[in-house]
Amino acid sequence: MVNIVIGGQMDKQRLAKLVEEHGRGEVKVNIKGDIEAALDLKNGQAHFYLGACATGAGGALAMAIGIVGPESCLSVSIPGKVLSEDEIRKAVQDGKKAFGFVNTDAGRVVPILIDEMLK
Amino acid sequence: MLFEINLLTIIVMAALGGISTYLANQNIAVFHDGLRPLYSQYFSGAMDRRALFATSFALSFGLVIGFGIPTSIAGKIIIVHTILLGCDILGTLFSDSGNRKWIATAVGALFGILLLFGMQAITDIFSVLPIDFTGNLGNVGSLIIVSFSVFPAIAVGYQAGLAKGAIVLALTMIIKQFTALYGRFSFGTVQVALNADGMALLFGIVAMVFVAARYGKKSSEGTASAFAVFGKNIERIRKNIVVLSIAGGIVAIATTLLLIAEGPASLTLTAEGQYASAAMVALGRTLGFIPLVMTTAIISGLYSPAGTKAVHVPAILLINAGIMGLVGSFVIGALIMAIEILILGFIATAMDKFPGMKELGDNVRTAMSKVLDIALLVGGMLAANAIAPNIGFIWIIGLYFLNEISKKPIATMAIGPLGAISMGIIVNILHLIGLFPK
Repeated sequence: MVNIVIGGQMDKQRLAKLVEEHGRGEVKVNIKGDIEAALDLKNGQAHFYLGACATGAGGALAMAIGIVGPESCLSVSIPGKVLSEDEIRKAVQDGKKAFGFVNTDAGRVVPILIDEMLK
Repeated sequence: MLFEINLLTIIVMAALGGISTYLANQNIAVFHDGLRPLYSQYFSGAMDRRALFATSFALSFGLVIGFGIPTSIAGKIIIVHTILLGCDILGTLFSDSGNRKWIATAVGALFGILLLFGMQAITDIFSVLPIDFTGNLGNVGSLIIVSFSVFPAIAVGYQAGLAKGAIVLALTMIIKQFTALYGRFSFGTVQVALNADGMALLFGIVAMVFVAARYGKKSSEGTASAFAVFGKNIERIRKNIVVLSIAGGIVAIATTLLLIAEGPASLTLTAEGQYASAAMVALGRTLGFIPLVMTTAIISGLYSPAGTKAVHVPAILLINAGIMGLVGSFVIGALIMAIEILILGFIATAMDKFPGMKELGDNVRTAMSKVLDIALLVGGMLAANAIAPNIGFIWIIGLYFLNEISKKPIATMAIGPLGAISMGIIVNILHLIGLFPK
């Protein structure tokens, strides 16, 4: 089981649904506030953190950067740029744990993230 | 554009650009909520100035070009992101040591003035093209005015479930319909007409706050303890309270002068002269941004030049209130900013006590952006269709879906404004080659 926590900050219900749809029954999703979610990741209660907002970097990832540390965090999409599938997969392989993206890009990046997380 | 270009507005834009760039350059405040958390790395030396600038540029440039400028042109007021994200970029471009800060400040002031004249120039150029489409651009925001009162019902739905959301939606509709029918009174010779959208919005926001205050899952971990390590960051922001308050005052006075607006919805309502509704929308957005701006401030030690956006609320209400309105706008804006900074420390503990209010912030921002996405998209379709009746709709629908697969997508809510403007340019090109007769 891979534990995924949805933190910051927009469209959380939709993210959780997407994660479950692509999780092949091997993921456990929790929706929390961004601060609690970041603490979960830090304490090891969650394996990965996902967050969305209008910029993919602010509300989506801010608390994870502050509480877990920037080295574990990555914006996989911001307005004007979405990382390629290869870049996203490589980030997961490189040990990034918290991912932020623009909420309207969720449908594009979440399936890739989850697929790689389950490998 | 709706603003006038005169000595006062030139000075205010220069001051706004100058002080915001100074704040970004001196690592006191940046507007992009996603840039703030990275400063812990910068302060620790793990990230150098060049990397900070590169990140700031990457985060903000697309928003300025893809969202800020088209939304401003279509709406006739500069959306605040255009100038303040630009100032983030300029401020981080220059070194924060030595005399560079004054160069940064001067460049920022120049940027403010350039934006003022540049926006007007673009609008002027558009209006002298053979096919004048500027009148039809107003359609982009037309749906926002009549539909924005729906957002609290959606936020309630996100927070408390379908049933409660549906009840608030039904009541919002009843109140709007009722006010539209019976909202006119006359006391003797004085006619009073209630604004139906305003009344529906007011009800929705009250209902939303009421639900959030009652509803609230127990927070499992203590925000206060998680934030205890960031105490010195709050000190750092407090040390700069004077310059931040001045920035708040300048943001407010620029809002009152119709130079800037805080978001696409209040921008449109302000442009239509519906100041009370615009102020209510700005207040709703402030509720959404209080947790975001304040938590990112606490973990970074940097604030935002516009604070939680609360400074815009009284500033909108003071539009057209003469010279005293301008003075009042500045003073109240500065005061609000000072109060925000003074209560920063309490926020962490307050969020522990009212987790529903923190969650409300997230839901408000989600609901607002969903409504804006649709309203601006359909508004953009109406505008493009008014500009080019044969091809307008397919241009916007095509843009929307092609943007979804683009590697460099622009913000969804910018498709409408950008699509309508580009439609106008396209019909002028078609006119040149004889495919679009007058």
